[in-house]
Amino acid sequence: MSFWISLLVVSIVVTVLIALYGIAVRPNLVKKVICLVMFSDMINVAVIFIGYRNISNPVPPVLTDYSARGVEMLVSHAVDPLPQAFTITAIVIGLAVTVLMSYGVIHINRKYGTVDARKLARWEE
Amino acid sequence: MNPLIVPAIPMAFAFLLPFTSKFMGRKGVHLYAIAVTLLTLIFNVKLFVDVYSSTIPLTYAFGNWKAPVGILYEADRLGVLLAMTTSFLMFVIAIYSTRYLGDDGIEWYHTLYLGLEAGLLGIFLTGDAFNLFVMLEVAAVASYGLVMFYTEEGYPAYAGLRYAIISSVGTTLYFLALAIIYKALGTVNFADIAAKLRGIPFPISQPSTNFLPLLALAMALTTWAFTIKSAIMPNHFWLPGAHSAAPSPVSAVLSGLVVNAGLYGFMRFLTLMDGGLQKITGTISTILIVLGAISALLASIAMILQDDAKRIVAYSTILNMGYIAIAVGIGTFAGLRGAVFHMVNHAVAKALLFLAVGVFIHSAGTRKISELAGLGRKMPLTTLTMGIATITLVGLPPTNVFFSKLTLYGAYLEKSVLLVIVLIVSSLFALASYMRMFYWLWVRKPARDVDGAKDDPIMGAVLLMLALLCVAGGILSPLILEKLIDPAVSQLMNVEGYIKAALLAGVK
Repeated sequence: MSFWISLLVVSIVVTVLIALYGIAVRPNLVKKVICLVMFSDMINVAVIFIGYRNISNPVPPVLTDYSARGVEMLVSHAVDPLPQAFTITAIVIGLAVTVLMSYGVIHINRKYGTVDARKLARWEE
Repeated sequence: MNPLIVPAIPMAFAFLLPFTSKFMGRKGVHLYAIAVTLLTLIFNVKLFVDVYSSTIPLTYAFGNWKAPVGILYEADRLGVLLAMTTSFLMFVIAIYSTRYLGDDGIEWYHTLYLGLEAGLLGIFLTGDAFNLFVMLEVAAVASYGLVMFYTEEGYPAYAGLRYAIISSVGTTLYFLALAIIYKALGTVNFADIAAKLRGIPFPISQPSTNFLPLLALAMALTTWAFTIKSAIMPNHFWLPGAHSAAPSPVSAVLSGLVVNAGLYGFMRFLTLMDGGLQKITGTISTILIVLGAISALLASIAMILQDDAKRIVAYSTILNMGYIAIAVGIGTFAGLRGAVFHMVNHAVAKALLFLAVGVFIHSAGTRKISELAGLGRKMPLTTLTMGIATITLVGLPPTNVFFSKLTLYGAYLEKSVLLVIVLIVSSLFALASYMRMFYWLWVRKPARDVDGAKDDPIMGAVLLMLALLCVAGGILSPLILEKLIDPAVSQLMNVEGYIKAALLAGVK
């Protein structure tokens, strides 16, 4: 089990680094946007992972039995739902930002006929 | 009074505007925006009076859930002072926008504008670190859209996209930092975080046993994120492009108000963590002092090299954010006092300067100072207010920034003489570049026909009001410092009171 967990951690870190490289270095704006999506998705995975607990007989983190026993069952057999709630918020916000940025890229392409940041920087104004 | 209502008003009306704008004309949309910002301002004044007359911060718990479970809005004096500045400037800039903008897309402009206001007010009033993230994103998405407003010209779309990419990297890092704080302390409520670090009992959760390395990592990420938000070196590069490509009223909002969000975040986190974590806060303070000094110096040099009127002003924002970052880094009472006072004064003065430059740009249709030559004589009122704005920002008496620079000077002197040298040298560079702008506008012969240019009554009135406010703020500054700034800073540093207020919130 711990092998899979360390594999997950390593892959999260590597993907974050690749995404940051893409955002910083690649001149193509479409690739920059893709890398940004990769970056925020990997952060989301990391946040979900922070809320993860290795437990036997897991149940979904939904309270169905409104009693002391039900709450106790939930606490001992469910993962922490709060990081998941954080993540769903971040995904929704990320969607809005991605849509806006894609619109910007489409518009730049229509106006200048290129999405290369090096060429665009020369045409400032 | 309930602090939630202040951000809720612009938010609700922003969502209504796309539907209702179909039944309103162009004028109707403008009046709608002015009315909503005025309504927000009125409620904000009420909240302001309430918070200043109460000894502990006012709270609102969503759904009456007690503090760490539900989202908590906690309005302390610092937050409400900055919220007041925000809603006042948003109101006057909404009036200015009626004359500045053309007909196209006005309803979308005002939807985003009100959304931006809601986001900013939420940032200053929230008592929950995750809600701070949401509100940062609300403000950020609205400002990306507003920077791209003149998207047909091409360059604003590129500047806005660059701003969007770097800024969303920042907020995503802050999001990761939040999750790590949650892992370390079991909470994201500001009061709860502070209580855990001070060993004060707070309901529900327990901190994990060895939380120090996790918190250090989280604060490193937060520092990165907030330096992007407040344009501190080396994360400042998006600002000149974004702030100069936006329409002038939006530039005023972005430069005067939006950049404050990051530094407000620093102030909040550093004071909350000061109790148990001197090692971490000390490191962050040193980073802020060093980066702030470098960014003030470099920005003042870059100002001289620009030939675009709005870029000069945009670099001056980086300069002033550098000053505030140094003061926040010093972190003593004198330092925070200088930081808060300078933040408020800079917001008013920078908004005035951007709006005044905007009138020239609006009339000439260009941003090159060489092509604005000679316009100043045709528009005496605008030139006068711009003169006041520049002497204000350079920091000459009797304007408000002179007095806030004086408080900064005192705070810097306690720390190191080097910082005072930075303050003086960068102010001199800024003076030189403002004088250059004036020389072109006033002394030079017009490069082309400028006979049609004249003062606009509404924009002129807004400018005159802000200019009077700058001068009045200077003359009344001992009073303002004593009545508004000092109570705000002492309440900010009284973290126990903040925790107590949070514990009292929600169901009794």
